[in-house]
Amino acid sequence: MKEINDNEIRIIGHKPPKDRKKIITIAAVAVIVAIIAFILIKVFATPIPDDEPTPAESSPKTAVTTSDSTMRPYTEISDTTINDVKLCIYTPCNAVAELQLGKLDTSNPEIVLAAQAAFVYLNNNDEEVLDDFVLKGEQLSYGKSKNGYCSIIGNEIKLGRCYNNTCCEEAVEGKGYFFRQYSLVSDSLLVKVTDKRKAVRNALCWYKGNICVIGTQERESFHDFSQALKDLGVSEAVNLIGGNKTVFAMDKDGKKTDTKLENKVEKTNYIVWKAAESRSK
Amino acid sequence: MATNLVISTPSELWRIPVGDIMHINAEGNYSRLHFGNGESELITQQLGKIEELIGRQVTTAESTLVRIGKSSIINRIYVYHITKNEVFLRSASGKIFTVNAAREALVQLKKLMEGEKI
Repeated sequence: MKEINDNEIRIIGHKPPKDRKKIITIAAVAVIVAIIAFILIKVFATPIPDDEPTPAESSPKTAVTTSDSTMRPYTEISDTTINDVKLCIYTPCNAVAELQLGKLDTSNPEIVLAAQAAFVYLNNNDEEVLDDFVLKGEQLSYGKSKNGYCSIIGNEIKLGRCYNNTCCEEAVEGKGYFFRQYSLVSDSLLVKVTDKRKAVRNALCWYKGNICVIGTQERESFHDFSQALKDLGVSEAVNLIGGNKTVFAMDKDGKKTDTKLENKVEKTNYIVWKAAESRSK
Repeated sequence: MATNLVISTPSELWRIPVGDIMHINAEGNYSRLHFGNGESELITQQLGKIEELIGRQVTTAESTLVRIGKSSIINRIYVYHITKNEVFLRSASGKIFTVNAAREALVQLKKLMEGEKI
């Protein structure tokens, strides 16, 4: 026991031990409550819906493009801002779509809208289109690394998500066009894209019953771009090659937006809208 | 609280109701235990050893016994007057006991008792 001086006092006694029984009881009650809570959460909690749609395929959005020979084709261009993302909407009018491989002739007055479509990669000093790519019924490349697609058969243009061969085979059989790209919005739900880098983005979109090209005016991440498209009301969106000089458009007055499209590689491919009579046979 | 304190020495054992103890004083190597009825017992244990024995049997929360300096243990429920040099204890029968202590120790006892209602 500690020594004491004459100037000190102390209450005689020991500190009571902690009530172990009480502690054990409290711990047991806490464990039981935690187990019950866990079971309740498991049973009753509804899972938070994931942004990405669970089905591997979506119902494709189809637009039929028409071209009246008496009316001149053009692109309706409008700007809007969604979630601080500045968007430019290019809606082709009186024009039909097709895919084109190689350099784009921006001096061709028949072309009213063009955007670089599928990605290409360098293979033995030759550039090849990535993934399934069908040009006028001929399949030029194969691959399914991207789940979004665009197919053009006759005057019908389809956007959707599909991993199998069906949609591609349809394009081959119908002597049409087909390419794959990242799906950004599917059935009005956001599709996650892991790439977080920022760039000027473009996408082929199903918007207000039409298929149009929507691009950002500034560098944005895929997520912000997709979210902006979804919030705008786009129900289906397939990515297109981004960058400042990858979209060409001609408005109603014949004014061209950009005539300096990047044409560094031979296999650069475009989705092009033009008058029906000028479509390549 | 334990109603009886057991104080055991090599040759003897006391079993004493706490309420009967007025104070315990050191007497050399022994200790004298004073009861409320005026009687006292000499215990062949040093005061520190008795404090240790009591300390094992009661908790600080329930104890009414206070060690004051090197020479005394008092039962504070019987304190009725504290002066600069002494503390006076009064038993149920009205008998007065006087315990001398150092001034500083009594100041501390006063402070201790100011905050309690025993």
